[in-house]
Amino acid sequence: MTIGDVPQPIVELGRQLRLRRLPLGIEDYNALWRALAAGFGWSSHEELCELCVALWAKSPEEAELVRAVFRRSVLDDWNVSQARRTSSAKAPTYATESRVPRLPDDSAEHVPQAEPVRGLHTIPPSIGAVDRSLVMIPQYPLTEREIAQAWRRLRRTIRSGPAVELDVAATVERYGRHGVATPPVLVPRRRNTAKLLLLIDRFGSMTPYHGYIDHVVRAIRNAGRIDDVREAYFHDLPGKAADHRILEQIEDPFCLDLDAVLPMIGPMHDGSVYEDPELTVPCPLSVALSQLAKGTATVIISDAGAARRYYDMTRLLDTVALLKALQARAGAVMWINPVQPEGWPRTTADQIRRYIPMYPLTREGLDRAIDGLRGRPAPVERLP
Amino acid sequence: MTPPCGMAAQRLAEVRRRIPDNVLRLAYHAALPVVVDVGLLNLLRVNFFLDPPDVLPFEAEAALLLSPLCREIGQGLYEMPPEIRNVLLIGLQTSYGDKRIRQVALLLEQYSTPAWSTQPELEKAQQLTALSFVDSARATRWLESASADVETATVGREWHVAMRNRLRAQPQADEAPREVVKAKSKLKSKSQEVRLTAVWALAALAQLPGTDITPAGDALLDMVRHRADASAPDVKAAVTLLRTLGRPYADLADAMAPRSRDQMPRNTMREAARQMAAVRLEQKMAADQSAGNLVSALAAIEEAIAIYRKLARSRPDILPDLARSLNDKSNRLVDLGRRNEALAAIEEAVAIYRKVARSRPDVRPNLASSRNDLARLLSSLDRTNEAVRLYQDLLPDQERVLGPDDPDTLATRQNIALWTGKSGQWAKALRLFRALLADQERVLGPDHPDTLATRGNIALSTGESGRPTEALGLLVELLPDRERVLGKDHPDTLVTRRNIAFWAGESGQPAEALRLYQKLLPDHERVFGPDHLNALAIRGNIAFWTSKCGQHGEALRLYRELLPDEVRVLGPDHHNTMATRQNIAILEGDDPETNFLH
Repeated sequence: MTIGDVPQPIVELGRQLRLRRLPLGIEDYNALWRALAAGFGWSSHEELCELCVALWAKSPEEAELVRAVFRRSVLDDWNVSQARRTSSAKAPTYATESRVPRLPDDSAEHVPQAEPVRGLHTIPPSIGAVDRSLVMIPQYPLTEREIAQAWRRLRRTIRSGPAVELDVAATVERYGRHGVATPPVLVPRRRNTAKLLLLIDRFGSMTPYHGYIDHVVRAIRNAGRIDDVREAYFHDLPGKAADHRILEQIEDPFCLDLDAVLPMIGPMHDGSVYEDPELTVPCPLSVALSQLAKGTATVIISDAGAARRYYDMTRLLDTVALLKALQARAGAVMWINPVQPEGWPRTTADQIRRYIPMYPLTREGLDRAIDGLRGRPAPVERLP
Repeated sequence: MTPPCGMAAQRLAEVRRRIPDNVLRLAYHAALPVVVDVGLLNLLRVNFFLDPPDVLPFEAEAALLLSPLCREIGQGLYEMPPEIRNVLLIGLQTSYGDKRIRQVALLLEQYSTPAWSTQPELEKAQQLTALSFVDSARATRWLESASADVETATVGREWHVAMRNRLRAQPQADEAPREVVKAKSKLKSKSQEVRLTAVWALAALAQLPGTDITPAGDALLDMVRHRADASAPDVKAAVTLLRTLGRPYADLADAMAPRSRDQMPRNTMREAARQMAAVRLEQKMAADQSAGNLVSALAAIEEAIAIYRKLARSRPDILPDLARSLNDKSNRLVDLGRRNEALAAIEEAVAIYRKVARSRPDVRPNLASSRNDLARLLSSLDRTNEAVRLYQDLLPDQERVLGPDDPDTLATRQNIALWTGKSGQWAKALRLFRALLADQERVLGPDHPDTLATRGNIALSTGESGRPTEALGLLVELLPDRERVLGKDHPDTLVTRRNIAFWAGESGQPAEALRLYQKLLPDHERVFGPDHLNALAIRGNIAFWTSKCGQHGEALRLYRELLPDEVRVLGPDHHNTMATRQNIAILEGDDPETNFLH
């Protein structure tokens, strides 16, 4: 390849894929160059597409993404008539003129259309075309890989199970001590025993985030390598504080915070959470919390009124009661808010984060929340 | 289609205050299905809003679903009120055309979700709706045959009735452009009810971003002027609508609102008409400008300035309009190469803005923008020290008034960095450019022309700091992006190609530099003509690198061909002409091996 003859179709393809959050790096491009130089991928668009899939996709979803983006990319410049394969690994050249039949503007395939038949009309007729360039895989700000990478840092390792791992130092030490050949010293493998409870707000202003949150939960479960992940769902809050009359004791009518009455708020007792995201299988909060192992890390995922830009003092009071209940039972508690921090001011979220560390659902936010769960101090203005 | 009612116009006006225009364009797409869920909306964004110019982040999805445009109907589904849906569909049609409608319909058909596969009515409604946008006759035909045989169907008679009404109510592909015409003709109706419907139809259509508001605004203005009874509901509605259309309609609405036409002071009416004429001239200038009629554009803006000057004598609120027009005039003069006259106009604009900005915080962004134009003009007049000082003075003000992420603030940073480099401090310039690039990519996106310009400047600073190979690599990466975003013949794209050739030579690849310059020359001559300064410079470079490649005879021939053209275009004393003459002398010498070309 010579300077100035950068193969634009591939550069464009890579750009489109990176926009769709497929983390392509220099190494991935190099792999493609080497494969092309060796003569692969020149006979047709399909072969080139499958070559990219083989080199770049690491899951069926990513493969589908590469194929879809490939179909929508402009590949007219890819001159497949140059597919004279030579045995030498000579770098290919990229023609700028196309001698390939151009794809029609609308690359949807046309299939013969059936005329509607009387008596079989219970299903409306199909449009009769499929547009394969449409990406049918949802895409969120964080990929499964990024979420898993973040959560793999939540580790509490102990050795447990059968002794199968060689302890080199102990074996050498025993050799030296006995002076004769002794069997090797084996120890159990290290296991991550970190436990995690996800308390997830559903419906209402959280509905727009359902897809993203489900994706996050799935990624933590599938690839986060955490010993025990539990989810509990609720709408707005799992329950109410015992006594709302506490609010009447705040003297300043314009006061937005609960600092004055904080010690008087008791932990939430009567709430309930749900085992399923559709909120159909209830479970008392006290039971759910009593089942938690000691030191279970807890994460609350909720917009805390920020999505609709609400401020609600009663909700703040109930939230503090929930935090007190969690503090009594669980280990570190962090709050993850799917709304970006620009949307927090002047909402309930802005007050809640004075009492509990709150981070946005971004890579940096997750990292900081996990730092907090691992024990790094995460200062808040007031402890509830 | 069903005429939009007042609710649609009011809700759209409210939505436009709350969400950006590109989120509204996502709403155009979301209006096609019967209902949307988060999964479908996500796919709409992923397929149609990841590439410039329409780039939307994930947060836009929640912003749309939680806006007044959408109503949650349970099970994670959202629907739009039919009146709003129809207006948005017109937006989809006029902004994106039939091909996009077809793509959205296909996406809807290919999307399947448990949420509607468990509800046969909904599933069928979605499928039929998708079909109706691609082939409405076929959809209607199926519906008629299915309704006739309702007993065997899995859905009830109500469903068929509802779907028939629905399909009838949604706008047809060719209907959108006719809506404004239809509504305007109804404004003359004798029936107050018909007029009111027309007012609201125009109101709703004028809320679509990018729509020409002039026909709607003029028709409404006309109606308000010709109706004696200012308290009639349609007149009130028209005045409310005029207020949402911005200047000058908002001003005129304020002038007319409390009184009927007869009670309006005569001079106010006259002033309003004059102001209107000036606005028309500004519009004419913009149209001429984009059509390339630079002289006519200048004449229009000068006429507008004359009107604003007269009005401003008695009305200080007109001063910002006068300053804006002066700024436009300055830009048009720059286009025509009359830079000294342009300087006078922009200096007056800045002076007026400065005076007004003290009491009018809303014009401060305009002041910043004009100061930026002034600095740019000064730097192009080689008054670089004044320009750098102006830019540096301007930056803190822009950061405060416009915010650090405003495109104008970023442009000022770019200028400071560039002139810092040109004063010889390339390492410092490189640092400034790198910091700027990160912010531009975040704010403007990686494909914005300014972001691309910064990448070019980073390459320049890198090369000037003594790392030509690295500069070359950066430019090679930049070129495909520029060609894709700006086109192959854009001046910036050609600049990048020239720079690639330059740094290829500087990094010790004479044959490659020669090849690239030779490839560039015909394109450059085609775009700018053979007598362009840079075309001559490229020819000089070709001769230089030909000589470097050992072909001294050929190089000499090229220099000899170049010299008369340079003398004719640049003059005999231009430094390029002199360099060519010197090189000819060297190559004519007995021993070219010893000369400086080697």
